[in-house]
Amino acid sequence: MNNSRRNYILIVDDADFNRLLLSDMLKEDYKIIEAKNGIEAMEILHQQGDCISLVLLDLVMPEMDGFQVLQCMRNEKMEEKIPVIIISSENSAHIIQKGYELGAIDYISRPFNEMIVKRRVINTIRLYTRQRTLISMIGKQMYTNEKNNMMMINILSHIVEVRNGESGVHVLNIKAITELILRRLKKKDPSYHLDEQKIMVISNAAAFHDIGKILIPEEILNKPGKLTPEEYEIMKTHALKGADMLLSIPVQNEEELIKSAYEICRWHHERYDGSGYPDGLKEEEIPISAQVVSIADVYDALTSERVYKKAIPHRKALKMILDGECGYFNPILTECLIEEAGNIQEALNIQKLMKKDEKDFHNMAANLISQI
Amino acid sequence: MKMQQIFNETGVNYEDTVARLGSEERVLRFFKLFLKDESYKNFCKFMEEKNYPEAFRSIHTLKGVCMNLGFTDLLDVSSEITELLRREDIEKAKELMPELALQHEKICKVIETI
Repeated sequence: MNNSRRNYILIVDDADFNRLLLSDMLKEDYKIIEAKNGIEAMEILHQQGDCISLVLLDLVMPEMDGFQVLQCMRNEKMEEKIPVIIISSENSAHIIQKGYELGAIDYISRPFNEMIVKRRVINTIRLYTRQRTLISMIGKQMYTNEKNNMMMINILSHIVEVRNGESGVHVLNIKAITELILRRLKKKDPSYHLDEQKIMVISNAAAFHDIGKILIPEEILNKPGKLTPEEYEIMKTHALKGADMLLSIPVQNEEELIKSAYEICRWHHERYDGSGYPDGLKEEEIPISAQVVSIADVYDALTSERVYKKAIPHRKALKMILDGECGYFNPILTECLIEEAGNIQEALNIQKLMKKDEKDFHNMAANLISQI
Repeated sequence: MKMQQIFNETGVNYEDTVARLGSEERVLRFFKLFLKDESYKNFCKFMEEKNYPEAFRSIHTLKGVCMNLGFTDLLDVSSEITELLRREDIEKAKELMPELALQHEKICKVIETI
């Protein structure tokens, strides 16, 4: 992602002599920048940090010593990108340990040996370059995968929607609302264990919630008036039918996306007080994925124009939900809905999905790697 | 080798230094550069001015240079003074200054004759 050429080595030492000696050994293979003390070093790192592949750092220096430089680099999150090798003549164990604890990756002791210095330098630079390249490759791969997935899901759900006689944005709306509510829920209640990955899976799976409707006769789906009790019972079967279809997909049912889609399909008409269908699940028996999609679905149905009703204004829809006119929901979810109301309106108005761009995937990959 | 002999007598581990630093040319070049190094001069100045933190840094630097160039005798006395100043034992450090001067002088003389 960011493959700027890092081919400078920064040598930080207050003694001209030392900088000169190291520079002499390395200048054949690398470009050298020098700093006399910690303050100069930090200035250079700020201005040219992207070009620096390694720092050779002395410890005892005026103005700002090596330990302080390490701390500064750590505070500014340079540690993961720029390796630091300490080149001090201090050789007591506790000083070396302090250096390592502050983030130095290696220690070249004196007296300098040219062969050793060169080896250590090239090995360290190679290691970090490989790591950065890996992170970049993985990030790109994850991004491409996700893009492809989303494209497929969007296309397929659009086809289903056309068949269902819906407007074509219903699925996109549900995804957007679901994601917004999940993010709010993540902040409010950690006990649902919502991490980035899970939020994305559920939001994508939400697109499947009404696939069962393709098995419902068109006359019922597109009837402009109220449904008869028998018609309504047939309509209700779309939840189970959709879930059954997912079960028969020739893909491993263990796949997170499929599991989530199944939950959502089958149970997005359940209600928190057990009065929903098809299984009459109650409270936390209902998977959170289905709980969130069910409230999103109700909100979107109320505020959209349908063949059997007009669009209801946003505020009125919220009030109807709060007053329990559409069934009883998990109170924390109604809170989330209210708190995210502004964002939801915006998302629906301009149909803006919260797009993840490549940088987010890069960061996700970096996060994963750092946990190894 | 003649060089080795000359240096041995002044407490310089010439052969080892050449092996470590990669080439005779580099070693001799940096030996000459040592004559311009100011850490010894600064050390003496700061000791006189009673600026002991700066004196410590100067003698610490000198110690590092000696390590790199294989100046073993000068290294020994520089190291001792470094540790004494680190412990702030000023009096004992002062007592070693004549020895330091002696070793420093010895090395400079030899290098000048190359």
